[in-house]
Amino acid sequence: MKDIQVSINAESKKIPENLNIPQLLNFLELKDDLLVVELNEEVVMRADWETTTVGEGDKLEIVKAIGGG
Amino acid sequence: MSDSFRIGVREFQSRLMVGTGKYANDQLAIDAIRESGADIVTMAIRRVNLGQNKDESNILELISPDEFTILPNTAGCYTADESVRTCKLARELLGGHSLVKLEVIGDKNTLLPDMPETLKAAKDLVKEGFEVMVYCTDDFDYAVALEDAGCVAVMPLAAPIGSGRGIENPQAIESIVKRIQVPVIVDAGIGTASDATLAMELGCDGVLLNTAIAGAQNPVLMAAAMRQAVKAGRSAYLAGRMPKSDQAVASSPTEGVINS
Repeated sequence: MKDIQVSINAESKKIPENLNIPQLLNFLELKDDLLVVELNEEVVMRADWETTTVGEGDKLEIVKAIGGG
Repeated sequence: MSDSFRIGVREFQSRLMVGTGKYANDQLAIDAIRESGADIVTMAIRRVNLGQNKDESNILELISPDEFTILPNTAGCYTADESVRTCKLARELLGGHSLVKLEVIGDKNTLLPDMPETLKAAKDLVKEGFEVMVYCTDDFDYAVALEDAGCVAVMPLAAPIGSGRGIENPQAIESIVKRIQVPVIVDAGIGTASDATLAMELGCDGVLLNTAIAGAQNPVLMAAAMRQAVKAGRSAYLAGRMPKSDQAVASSPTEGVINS
């Protein structure tokens, strides 16, 4: 299986190609609830996670809520 | 007596809104927040740590949208575009929830809002269907412009974020309160209970604070003090204070004093 280069939270990462969002989160060992994913500056709705595949050069942000004022 | 008030489409009982930052741990945060009686609780949106422990707790598990109205903020954003992106992420995270606290900061040392950029962001967010509670300076003209832009609450600062200096310009807050129709909530700079009371006595609809509780020696006790302070100030405002007098005015009758 081929690896691709992507940016996740401004870190450069090598990940396997053809991962959808749940597979990506699993690869990153992140629990898939209570977080949101943005792909190339657009929010990926949860309903679209299964059908959204990450490609070479994509820019991802994975965020959650934390304490704040 | 119910004294509920409305922000956008929602009705709230508590006029005290609290943040979730700077607590020593999540348990202390939830204990203090429950003690405060707040309905609205603010949170920030941040990147997950890659390589974090998979079992690490998430604040939304403890401070749940089932118990509180979560108010995601745009803290740390310096441009309208960044704040709009953050609000869109928050909306998806919270299942389509549209109430947000907009703050666009101008300078990392003062943490004062960048008002031209805040106004631009407010307009963009209203267009995107968000209900915007907007953190702003105590500038009258900007407060009016933000209300005109469709914000559901205008939230002037008492003093810079985290400074605990209390209300530095009560006259400016009072002018905003008298003019603005949507709720006016003092946000940032509250240090202790009397500051919150003063905000309410000036006619503000509510108070939003974080460090005043989280940074107290005993946050749970300070949360109780803030709950009571906001209620006391609100009652005093509704009761209508006595007029001030330049001279003393005796409280006891001057007639019938012995030896007179």
